[in-house]
Amino acid sequence: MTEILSINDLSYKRNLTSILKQVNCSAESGSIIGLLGANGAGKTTLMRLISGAAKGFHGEISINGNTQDIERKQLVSFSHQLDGVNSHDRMEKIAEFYQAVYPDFSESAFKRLAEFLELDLHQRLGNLSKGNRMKFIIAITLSRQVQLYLLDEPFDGIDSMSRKKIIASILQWKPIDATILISDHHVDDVANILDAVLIIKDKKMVVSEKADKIREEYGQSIEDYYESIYTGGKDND
Amino acid sequence: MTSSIKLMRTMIRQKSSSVHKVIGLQLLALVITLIIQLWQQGHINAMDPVGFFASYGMLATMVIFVLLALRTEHIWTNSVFRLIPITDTRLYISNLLSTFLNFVYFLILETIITGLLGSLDLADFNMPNTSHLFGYVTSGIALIFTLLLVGWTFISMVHLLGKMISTFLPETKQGFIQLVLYIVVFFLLFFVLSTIDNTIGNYVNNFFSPVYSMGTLYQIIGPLFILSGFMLLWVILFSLINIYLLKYWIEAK
Repeated sequence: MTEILSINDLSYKRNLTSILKQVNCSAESGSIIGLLGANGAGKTTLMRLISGAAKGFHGEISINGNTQDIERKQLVSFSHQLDGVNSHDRMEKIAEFYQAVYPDFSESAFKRLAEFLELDLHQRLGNLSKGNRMKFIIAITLSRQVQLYLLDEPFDGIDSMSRKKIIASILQWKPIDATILISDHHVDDVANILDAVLIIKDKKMVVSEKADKIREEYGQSIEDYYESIYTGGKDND
Repeated sequence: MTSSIKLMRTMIRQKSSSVHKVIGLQLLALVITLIIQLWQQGHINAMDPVGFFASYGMLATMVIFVLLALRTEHIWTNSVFRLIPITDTRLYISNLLSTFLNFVYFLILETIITGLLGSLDLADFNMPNTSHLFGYVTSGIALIFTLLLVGWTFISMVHLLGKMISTFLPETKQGFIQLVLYIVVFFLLFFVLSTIDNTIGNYVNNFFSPVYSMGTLYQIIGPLFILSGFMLLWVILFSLINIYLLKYWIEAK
């Protein structure tokens, strides 16, 4: 497997507050990686920096050897892409917009995903339940044909049926050589599908480990391992 | 990479909804006014519709300027647009140009509707001296358009500078801090730019005073074009600053 993501000595400060300090990590292509950490640990900020949404960091972020903002934006699909969408817009209209402005957006993939996730595309974004909104975000994010997908807290506050549907869609629709980075603070949601974990604590990346190694060599479940890391030191929450 | 043309076409389509809403409201106001007039006076004069439409047009023009400015500013911090794989320079140009073209579209619609309302009684219409008509119209339009662009790029500069400065201040009460910053930045920039502008203005006045003293109206055409040129230089300067801020400082929300 080749390295898709490489982060070296990444530090980020905003509003006089240090959010990330000398973060180092990497990710292999084709894997599903859990980015774990307590609320406020810096998971979303790290994803924003990788995607190019946040600026002014020190260090280097490289995706497939590309370090420029514009190159990263071409290679990454980030679930926060929908943040500024007008809530009165219908889902089909939003998908049309994505098709117009993202050359890598696959309309056919979107339609199949929407059907799989049982989305009624005539509905307005503002009228969707939290679960359906997240399903739509996943459908839009995974419909771009890119090398790295960033899913920020995709299971936050949604019911177990929607959660299962989203996990199934991730497994079914992920291109073989694409990498998915999923952030979460409820580890049990994603533990079973992970190939590797990255754990952020106290503004630093404290663990970068393969899931198999944790299960086989350390003899721990991902949840237990994560809890042992967090209870073994100061919580940044 | 996303095509600039495709992005601009999408932005034009999105922003045109503001144009349609404003024109729709203007027509609604016209209809209501005519009904009230009919109610009160029992008749409507032939020139009334166009007269009312034109007077509401002044307000509509101001409203559309502000609405388009708001939509332009919204894009600078919107993830939907900032995560599109396109350079910040192209995003900036697409955004500004789509705003400008929507304003032109608004003016065209206003002209068409005014024409349809039968404003021009061609029998009584006297064509002005046509030898300079083209010059008057083009120099006037050039000045109006460059002033509009100065307005939008200046608003963006105040917004983006305020955003950038706020990243160096504590997170608490950011809303209030940003509001104060926008006001301070606005007045500081206004003071600095008016000082520079006065200096340039004095120079231009001295240069053109012999032309003014000749007292012939058509000789204003040249100075109007020169003034538009100066305005265009401001637009370029503001745009360069805005693009720099977008590229290195302004984050998507």
